[in-house]
Amino acid sequence: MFLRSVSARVTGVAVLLSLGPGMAQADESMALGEQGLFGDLPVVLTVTRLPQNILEVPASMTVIDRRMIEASGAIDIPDLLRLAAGFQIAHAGGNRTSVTYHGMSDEFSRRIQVLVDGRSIYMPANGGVDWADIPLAMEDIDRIEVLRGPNGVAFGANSFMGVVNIITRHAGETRGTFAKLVGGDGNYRRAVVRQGARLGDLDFRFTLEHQRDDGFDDVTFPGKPRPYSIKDDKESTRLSFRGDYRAGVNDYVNLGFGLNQGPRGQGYLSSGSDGNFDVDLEPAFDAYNRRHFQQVKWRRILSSEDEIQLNIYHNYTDTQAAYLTAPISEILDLPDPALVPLIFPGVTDQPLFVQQHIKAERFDIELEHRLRINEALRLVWGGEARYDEVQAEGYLGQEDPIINRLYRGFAHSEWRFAPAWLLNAGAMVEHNDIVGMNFSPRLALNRRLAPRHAMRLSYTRAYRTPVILEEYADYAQQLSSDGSVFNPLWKSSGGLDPERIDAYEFGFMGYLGDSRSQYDLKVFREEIRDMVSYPTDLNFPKPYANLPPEALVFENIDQVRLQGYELQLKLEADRDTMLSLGFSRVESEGTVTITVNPVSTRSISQYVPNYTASFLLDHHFGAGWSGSMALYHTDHQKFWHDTAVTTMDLRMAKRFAYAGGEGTFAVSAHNVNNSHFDYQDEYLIEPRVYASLELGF
Amino acid sequence: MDVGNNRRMHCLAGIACLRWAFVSLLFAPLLPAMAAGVVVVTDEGNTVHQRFVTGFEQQIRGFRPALAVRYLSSATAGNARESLSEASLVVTVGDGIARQLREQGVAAPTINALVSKVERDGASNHVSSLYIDQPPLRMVSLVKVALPDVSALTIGMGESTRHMALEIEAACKQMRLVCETVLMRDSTEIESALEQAALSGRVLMVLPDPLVINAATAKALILGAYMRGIALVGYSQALVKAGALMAVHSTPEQLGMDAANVVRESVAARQANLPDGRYPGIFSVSVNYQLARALRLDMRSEAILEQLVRRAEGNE
Repeated sequence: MFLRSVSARVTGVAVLLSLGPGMAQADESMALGEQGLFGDLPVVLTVTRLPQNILEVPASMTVIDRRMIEASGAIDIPDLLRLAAGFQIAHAGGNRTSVTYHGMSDEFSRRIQVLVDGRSIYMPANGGVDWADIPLAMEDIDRIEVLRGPNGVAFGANSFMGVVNIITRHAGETRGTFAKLVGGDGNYRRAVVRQGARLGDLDFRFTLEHQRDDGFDDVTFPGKPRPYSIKDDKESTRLSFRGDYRAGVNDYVNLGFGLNQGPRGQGYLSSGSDGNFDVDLEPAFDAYNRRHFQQVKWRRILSSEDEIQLNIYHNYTDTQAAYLTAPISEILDLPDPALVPLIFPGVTDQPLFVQQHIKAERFDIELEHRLRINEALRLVWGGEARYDEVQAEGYLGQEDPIINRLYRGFAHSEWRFAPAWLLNAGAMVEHNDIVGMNFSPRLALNRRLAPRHAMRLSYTRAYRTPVILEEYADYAQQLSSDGSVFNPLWKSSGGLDPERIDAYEFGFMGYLGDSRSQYDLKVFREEIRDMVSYPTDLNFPKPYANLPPEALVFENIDQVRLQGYELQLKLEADRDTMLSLGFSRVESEGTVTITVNPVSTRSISQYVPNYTASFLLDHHFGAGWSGSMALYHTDHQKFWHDTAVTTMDLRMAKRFAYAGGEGTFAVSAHNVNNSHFDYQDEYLIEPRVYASLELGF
Repeated sequence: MDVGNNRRMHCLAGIACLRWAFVSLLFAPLLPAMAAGVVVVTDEGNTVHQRFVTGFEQQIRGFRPALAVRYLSSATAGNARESLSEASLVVTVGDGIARQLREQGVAAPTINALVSKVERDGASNHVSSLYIDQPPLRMVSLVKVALPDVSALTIGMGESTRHMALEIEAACKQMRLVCETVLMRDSTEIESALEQAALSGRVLMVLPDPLVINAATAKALILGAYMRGIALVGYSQALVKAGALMAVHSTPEQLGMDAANVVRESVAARQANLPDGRYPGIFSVSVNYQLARALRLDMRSEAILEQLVRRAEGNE
């Protein structure tokens, strides 16, 4: 099993390595005939780029390829992940999307590892992914490999419930000029310009993208005088670069950098519901996000099955967010501001200051070696060192940055001990400053039942280290006059243990028809222990007696068991028609602690939808016309409301050629069948229409 | 033959016999040298030739009686025409040196190693050739034994391997495969070979032609085959490593060992007329198992495939 090379389709997965002009470089003294037979050739199909035979992978996977990306009509990356069985997305505002697997996460997607070209992008502060701020245009994505289930051995820290591995297109595939305009409802505007070229042995591209939209529409609830008007607009400017350089016959260097910045609307313009989210407490303001990364990857290919890779990268995030609430007297609806010092001795009437500034950096170096030991045994081994630093005075209660160092060693073997049997065994050892040492094993046995069908039995254990915010949270509203703490909101006592998941799977997988179609069916059981929840402490000591004695605390307090079955099916009867189906049925046991002091809990089943399904049908009609339809269903899932949702997206496109290039015009409609709330009551997902025009030269 | 051997024949036991046998052994290495005088002419700066010599030396080391061999650089061979003509056997390595000595009019019995079959044409009876190419029957046999379900095969050849067309056809007939040959005059015609293979059988066997397939064009061939799900059968270990599915090939070391065997046979037979050209006798099979898995092909081990190819060739 070498899951970094996974892809389930023959087409669209091979890397294009640019070759220098002329003959083999190895020996210019060779005669022509000798060069043909004995000259060195660069390895084109490497172990990391060839698709894994799904009969041999030890885990369930879904590959979202370019065709699916285009057919889905998705306008952002999280939308695409609905195509993976068991995944759900929800919106916490127009500029924050949550991605969960089996419902086990929140608005920060804390339990999923997300990588872009091998670079881990989850935020060290809160463990989540700010999907709106990834410096990556969807048009540059080659495929997304979604591993459904824990994968600590292969992908390290945070690979708890699953892994989303985004792989961008090789620079050699995107030569020339490309431009795209997208416009639609919600004042959605996006423009992309890309220029790719080759300079000697270097293929490279620059992509510049600008996007803005107004977020969700205002919602007026029956009986409420004012509409809910959330400030969730956003504007982003993204610049990214990818370079693929062939340094030698079998030496390759990948270079990448990216920058993303822009304002994000937060807070409320007006609030018309039950006061849980109050414009006085969270007035509208613009947070300013700035993010950049740099990455260098070197690969030496020793043979088609022997490869060394060194990956070095740096991530930087700076979110400038701070605001003043309304004065205390307005928050409490007091008739006279002079009453404030009576209620809160020593405090005059004033706005409260909320500091949400986060600055985080990650430095990471990883070495990986893949090789074949003998005819029956292959091995991947390697190590990683990471340095995370977070400075967030408002969230952590201290000016000094908090540092977390991580060291990881891993090894994984694939042993074909009999013609029809394959044993995958691996382990990862990790040490970090927050929880110390973890050991994550994995064992999977694959048995070939027929030439194109196999079964799999696997066990995996993975750990999730509490992120810096969970371990060191100290977040409060401050008095604007002197910055002193007025009302603590979040507090962690520290000393958290890592969450642990033990996952058992029994599955069947194989190819259908002419092998372009494939299926993956599994029965699973996942046991999660020491889950870090953040209940409300109902007796939290406050500096002022008249403050509500409530604050969120972070504790390893919950245990959850999930079991069920899942199916991922992809049918391609011919090159014109493609059908993708994902289905997941999950039964959950366990509780989520809602409050402590005293304790109250809620069944986890309220948060885990019993059924999740996706259906995508794409057809090419000929003469450049294509159409697609997607259906997404998420069963009852209670956050602030309880509803099951089925949505339908449609897309129609026409490809055309003109002198010097070709283009595509497309129209897509999202949520055509209904309007619905998801995740929170304020965010109404309404039908929306988008049109796009792209030109390539 | 000589006094030593006669003594051995008449002395079956006793210390005197043993002593004479010991003395004979001491002088044994000198005996063939006096009789044979093998000269190997190589291009010293050519790494393939160096590897050839390594295999050659390794093989002759084990010969009894030992062969004494002299190595000459092609740079100095021009001045050594007379001494070369006096050698009992000359071994040239590569087309260039073969041509050079032919033009110099070297009259000694010559074995031209690492030559293409085309070069052989027109050579005289005192010249034998060890081809650098694999025999068509062996290449087609590999397809048959490795992919038994395949019934059709496309063969892409360049101008320099066009001469093999008849042999290829005969081999296909013998292996009961329907073969379609596609001529690739240059790299732009690789696509047409791929299209042809995609239409029938999904197996494309390419013959070596560095003007068509080289480091700059191999990517298009390998990726093109892969994207179409075509099993690409190559001709070298490097091509398999790069992304072809499999190949039957001989390394320079193996060709050197082969040449050493032919030299020994020739010396022992003391033939005035050397045998006709022959293809490599020592070869290996290389398989890209990673690619095989990606194409969902169950491939046997390289050792077994080599055995099956030999059997199919009728050489076992």
